[in-house]
Amino acid sequence: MKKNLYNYLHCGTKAKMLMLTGLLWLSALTFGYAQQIKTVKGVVYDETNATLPGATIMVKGSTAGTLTDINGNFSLEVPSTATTLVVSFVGMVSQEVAITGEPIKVTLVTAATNLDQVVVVGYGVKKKSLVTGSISSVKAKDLKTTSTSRADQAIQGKVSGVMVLPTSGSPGAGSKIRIRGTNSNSNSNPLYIVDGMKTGDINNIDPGDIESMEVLKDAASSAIYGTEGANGVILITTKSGKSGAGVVNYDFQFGTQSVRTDMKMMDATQYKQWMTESGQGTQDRFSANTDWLSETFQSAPMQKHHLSFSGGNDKTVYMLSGSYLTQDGIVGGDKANYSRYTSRLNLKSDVKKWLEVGGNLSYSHSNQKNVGQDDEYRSLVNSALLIDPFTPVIYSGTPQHVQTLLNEGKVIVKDENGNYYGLTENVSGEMSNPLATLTTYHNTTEQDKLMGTGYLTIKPLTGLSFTSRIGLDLTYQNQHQWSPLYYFSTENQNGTTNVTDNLNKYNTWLWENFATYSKVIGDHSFSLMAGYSAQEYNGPAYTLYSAPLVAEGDPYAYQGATTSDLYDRTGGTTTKNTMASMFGRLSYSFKDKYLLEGSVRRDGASVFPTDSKYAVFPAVSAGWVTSNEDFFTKGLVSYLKVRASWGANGSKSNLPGNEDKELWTLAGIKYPDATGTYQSGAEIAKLVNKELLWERTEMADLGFDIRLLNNKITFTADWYNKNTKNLIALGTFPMSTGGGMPYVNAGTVNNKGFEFELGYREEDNEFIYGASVNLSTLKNEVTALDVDAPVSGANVRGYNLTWFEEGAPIWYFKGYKTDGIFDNADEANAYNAIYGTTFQAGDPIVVDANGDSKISPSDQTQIGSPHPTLIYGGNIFMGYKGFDFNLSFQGVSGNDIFMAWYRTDRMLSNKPAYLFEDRWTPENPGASSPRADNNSDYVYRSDIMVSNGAYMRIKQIQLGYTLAKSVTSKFGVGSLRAYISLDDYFTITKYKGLDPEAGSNNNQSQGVDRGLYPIAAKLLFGLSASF
Amino acid sequence: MKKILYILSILFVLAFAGCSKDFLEVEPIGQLSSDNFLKNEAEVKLATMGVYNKIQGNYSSGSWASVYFIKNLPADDTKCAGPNAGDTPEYQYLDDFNITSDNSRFATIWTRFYSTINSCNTIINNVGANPEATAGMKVMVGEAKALRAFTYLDLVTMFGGVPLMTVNPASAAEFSKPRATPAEVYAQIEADLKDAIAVLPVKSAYAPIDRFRFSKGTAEALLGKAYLYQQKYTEAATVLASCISSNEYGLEADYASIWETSNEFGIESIFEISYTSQENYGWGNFPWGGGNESNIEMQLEGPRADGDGSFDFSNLDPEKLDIVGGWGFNLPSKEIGDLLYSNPADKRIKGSVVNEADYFAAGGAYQITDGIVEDPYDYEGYLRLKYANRSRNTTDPATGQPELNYGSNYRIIRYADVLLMAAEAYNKSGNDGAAQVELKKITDRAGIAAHTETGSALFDQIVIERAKELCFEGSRYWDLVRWGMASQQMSDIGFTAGKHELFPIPLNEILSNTMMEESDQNPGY
Repeated sequence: MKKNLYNYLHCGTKAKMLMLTGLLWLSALTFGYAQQIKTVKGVVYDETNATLPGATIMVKGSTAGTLTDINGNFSLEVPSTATTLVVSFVGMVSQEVAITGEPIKVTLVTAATNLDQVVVVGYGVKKKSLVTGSISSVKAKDLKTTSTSRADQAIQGKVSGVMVLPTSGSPGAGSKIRIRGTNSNSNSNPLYIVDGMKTGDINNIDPGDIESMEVLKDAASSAIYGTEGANGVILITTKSGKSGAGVVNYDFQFGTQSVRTDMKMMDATQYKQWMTESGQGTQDRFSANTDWLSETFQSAPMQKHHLSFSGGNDKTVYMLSGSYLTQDGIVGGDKANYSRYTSRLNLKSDVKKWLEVGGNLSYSHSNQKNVGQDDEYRSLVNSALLIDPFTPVIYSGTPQHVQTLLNEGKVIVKDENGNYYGLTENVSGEMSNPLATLTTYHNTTEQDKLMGTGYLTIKPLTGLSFTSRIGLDLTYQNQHQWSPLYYFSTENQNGTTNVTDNLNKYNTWLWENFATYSKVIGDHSFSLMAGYSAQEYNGPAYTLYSAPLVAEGDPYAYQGATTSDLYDRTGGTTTKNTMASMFGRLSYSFKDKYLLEGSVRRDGASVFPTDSKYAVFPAVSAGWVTSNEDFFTKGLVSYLKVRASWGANGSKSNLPGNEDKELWTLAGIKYPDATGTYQSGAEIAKLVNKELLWERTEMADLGFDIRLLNNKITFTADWYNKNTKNLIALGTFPMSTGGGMPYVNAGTVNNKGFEFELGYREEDNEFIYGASVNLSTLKNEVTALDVDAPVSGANVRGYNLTWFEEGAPIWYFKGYKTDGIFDNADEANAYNAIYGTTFQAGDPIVVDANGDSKISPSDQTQIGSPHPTLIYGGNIFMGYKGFDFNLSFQGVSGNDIFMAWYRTDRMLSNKPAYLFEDRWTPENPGASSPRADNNSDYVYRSDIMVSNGAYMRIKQIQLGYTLAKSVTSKFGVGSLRAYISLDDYFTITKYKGLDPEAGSNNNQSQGVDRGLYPIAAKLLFGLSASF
Repeated sequence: MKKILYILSILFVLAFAGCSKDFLEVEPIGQLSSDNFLKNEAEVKLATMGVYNKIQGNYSSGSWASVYFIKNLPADDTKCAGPNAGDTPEYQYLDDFNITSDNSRFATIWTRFYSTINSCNTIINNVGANPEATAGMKVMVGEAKALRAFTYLDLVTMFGGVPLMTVNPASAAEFSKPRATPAEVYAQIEADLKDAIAVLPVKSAYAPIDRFRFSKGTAEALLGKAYLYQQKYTEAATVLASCISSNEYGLEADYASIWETSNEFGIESIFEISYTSQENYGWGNFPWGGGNESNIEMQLEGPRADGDGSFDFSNLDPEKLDIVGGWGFNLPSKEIGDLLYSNPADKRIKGSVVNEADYFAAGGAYQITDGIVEDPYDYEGYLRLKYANRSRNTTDPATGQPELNYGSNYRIIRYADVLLMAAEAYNKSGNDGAAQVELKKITDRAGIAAHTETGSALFDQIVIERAKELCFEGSRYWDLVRWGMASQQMSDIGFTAGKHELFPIPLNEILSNTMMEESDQNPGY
């Protein structure tokens, strides 16, 4: 880092000159307006005593003015003759205050409505009414009572155009956010900016610490972030203190989680019948009728605490908070526990009238236990689905086959009472008794994360400021795992106790310097921002393995604590990349009526080949606040704004860098020579692509915002069209090149759609009620391929299921298309005569998709898309006196799910009951499912495995009661609210798997159900108090 | 004051302004680039060892796509077996002649073959063009050519004409190459092997530790095979005679001992792929995706000895039969078992198969847990002893998981094969006397009578001797195909003439190669 910083500082010719020119121009502008003046400072609050950013401060009777900054502060240089200031904010009653020489404190109260807000934009803030891009925001109150540990999951269903895909229902699992569709394949996650610092994950932030989350959806809004803005940007602002009396806030939530699935597996009778019909002979190793799903799922507790202290004086404000969360899993209980501590200190101070300094520092510690999922070979959920119902959970004695294994010295797992766990005699392979398997899991990921930003802002003149900000993101993570001795089958056993540690140390530093100048001249308002930044990422990773342990158990599971060092192994990788950027933005508005904005960013990234390191991303946007026109008569419509934007963003995806070099890797490459001694070797790591370019997303957006009936109804509509060109992907070329795929520019993906957000709010004395809905349509298509050949993605046991191909949705499902079931032998024979096949009654009728009058693998075609065409969400709220009620829901439709957890190679594995109940038999012609069959490709690689993935989920039903102030004040409590809530409790879906929503970590596996951890339903009780 | 502030601000901003070019240059971490690699003998040796390592992975890896097994599967001497018809279906399909272009095993080995070729190409082209290359580096260029030829010979045998990559592509535009004709592929193989023969040392000239490497004799044996597969009998006879007369090789006295780890790189070894037990893998750290140093395919291909429908080895008398269980694949067919047992004097039986009677006599049984004996899947009355799983060929249970650590090498070309190929080449080029001489070496060791026939009757004997001598070694199927006997011998098990002489080009290659159409697929697929 030192050397790079040095390099970074000691150079620059052209760029420096440019910067200098810009600054001189800026300075000239400011000097030009210097005159005989005095400075008035102050701070603006809203009625809740929160500071109000973006309020307008004007000298009465003149055109000189400014806006309050993000903390509600303003500093305005006024002619010495000025006596009165006008403080205004959209949606609030304007106020006039006298200039006395003392710092001014103004509290604005809400006008008839409070619908206008300030939103955070890149490197600044803006009034929502003047925003020309497409930005959705979620405020603290929407996040406060969420039951999820993750802020990003808390916005699910709350904003249009944003799809939140939990990677799993396992406690602490991450989520993937898709803003306006999936456009990239290796990394479609948005860029997270937390208090100015870029970060890849926000799992370390307690939702209770968040003041606001802004989702920058259109390219014009996110273009200021250039390279990494292509998938949208989520700006997170954490809470800051407010000057005045100190406030203590405490939030508590306690709940119990359970699984709510209708899925049923075949029971023992059905299983036996199915296996006989499918040609597996009579299965008679029958000693139980176990419902493995109900044995595996359990109810699990969770609780959260969040405590914060905030306050300050007129110069310095602080916010100190801490939180604790612990959540067990509905699969695995405390073996799937996730616990997290977070702490945060936000501090800000006006050291001098021209100097402001501040910092945000957060530290979190989390501990996540993992029971395996999203893996059709070795996972707990998968085993629960596949193991046969004949096997009991535990034996009361010792059956013969267990005794035989014991005699061979195998270790058979026992429960705490000393009984042997059921050991399947039917399903061979990796599947095992899930409850027994659970006892062998000792897998914990511990993460320490320190994230902080520090800044200083110099304000040499009204409207002009220079900010320098350094951010650091340090993560230290260890995935620790140890294995005891156990035996389930020859494929699933462990004969040597061992311990593995996967250590990761990531760190990113980001240094940004930017200047902002705002000026109001008559009816013209200008704001200019320019800056540059540099960042570096370092990610060393280490793997340690040692065996055998001195004894089994947590106290002995440490590296080096083994009886021999012969088997110790180490490994590791290191990634490093850097970026340097320059950016600027000019905003202009005339009479708050005509709005215009342009921005440009030039990014340089180390991961691109020498000739294509730099790219430029411009954007423009315009808005027209029609309702501010003189000719506009405000009757039904109280506000109307029409806006349009176009912009370009880039993505460097997850490029490792050096794609233009033929690299040789030596790690672990060795070959035993004629005497068995290793000879070291080197292998070509990957092919070369000297022509790699930046991935570039261009998006156009048209929209309008309208408020009706005195702002009671708000409505926003957007249309967008997004083209991602030169999409960076692996593997677009023939296998005859020798593999080791380099990254290439694969093609163009188009996403387009409409977004609508509708809100209604009515206040009638003590009765407040309202509703909001949002709805987005989405069409995803690969419109061009740079190399004219489809690219294969997710593979299910040797079958290339998902594909990237021109004219189809990204990573669509490919397989055999079927057209019903052969009802009888005549039908099948007639078909066989044409296609030369050997189908019989009850088999699926395979469509000859390529029309060559034979059935071959070339007939595999598009059978589904994992992408919803419609996503929606909404909520209904009511408040009366102390009571409040909230119901929110969220859903998708138009997407498909492919059930991929079947093990066709393990014929005796169990199947869902519906396959049995709906199957074809001679007595049940006209059935919807084929005859009993365990491995036909025409069943398990066909559209028979594809289901409608649409669902609607009631995210939350919450009833709260706030005690009257008159009561609470007697106990010295400022406010006290208690609530009960049902979260993720009701789901409407046709999907027959465990959960239509639980997704995958892997982008190419979206919609592929390999045995996923379902999302838990929660019953919660919560309490919020402030003092 | 104000002016000072301005100046301060500007200085403040400018002091940190910059966009160093060096800042954006991040060198590859822990990897060498072809621009600065392969500049000396040690580096070229690293790259060459890397090629052997690739071949090692292509013949046995935890992703279950072994060239060894794939070459054996369709043949009439091997049954896929396994616990049931559904386990590892891609292997089962090959055994059942349910062969389709989307069988992922083809894609896997195809990719690895070309990955091997890719490394060879860089060695050949970079080092070959280096005017300062030392003699040792030039020898390794020859070695890389021989390794490339070895790989192309596997490819052309199984798939016919394939894309001929001799220079690595540098951008997306160069990624696709059309199918070459088989003749063009063979021409490249011959040219590479001739170059290799000219520079490679004989086996004994290598230091003992290096005797796993391609020697002159290996290249000659391979060239002989390439000629034979093209029916160029005179050329084959000449080059195989050169290999035989080098006196570098001989036959092991005891046929059954050939597959012991203790006999690796012995007198009969012309080329074998090396595996080792020394990793002492456990279940927790075995590299299932590939990169294993042990021969994991051995575990897959050991007879299954757990659960219903499997063998019970627990009472075996090790003096009579010394094998342990695996995952059940690769059982012998009745046909090869009967053929071997047809002459009980043949010493090769002991190193090839055991029939049920002898198995019971040695204490073998079937697993019975509920009173019913269920036949192991695909079992036709014989167990395989060639490459059998034996505890002495893997790790000690105290230090690693025996199932995962078989060190057994794959014998790719044995001297016995060279003798049989020479006999065939002599017979086909009208020199039956010489053919009988070479064939006698084989029958003498087997302890059976020499063949005195001539002409096609002698050829018929060569066919039988090859079947017995080289059973389960990946030769049988391709011999039957090149002799035009596949249809006659294997139509009963599903062979279709005009189709199954070749495997299909992997579907993904056709889809992703812009120079290939569906119509370029091999006939019948």
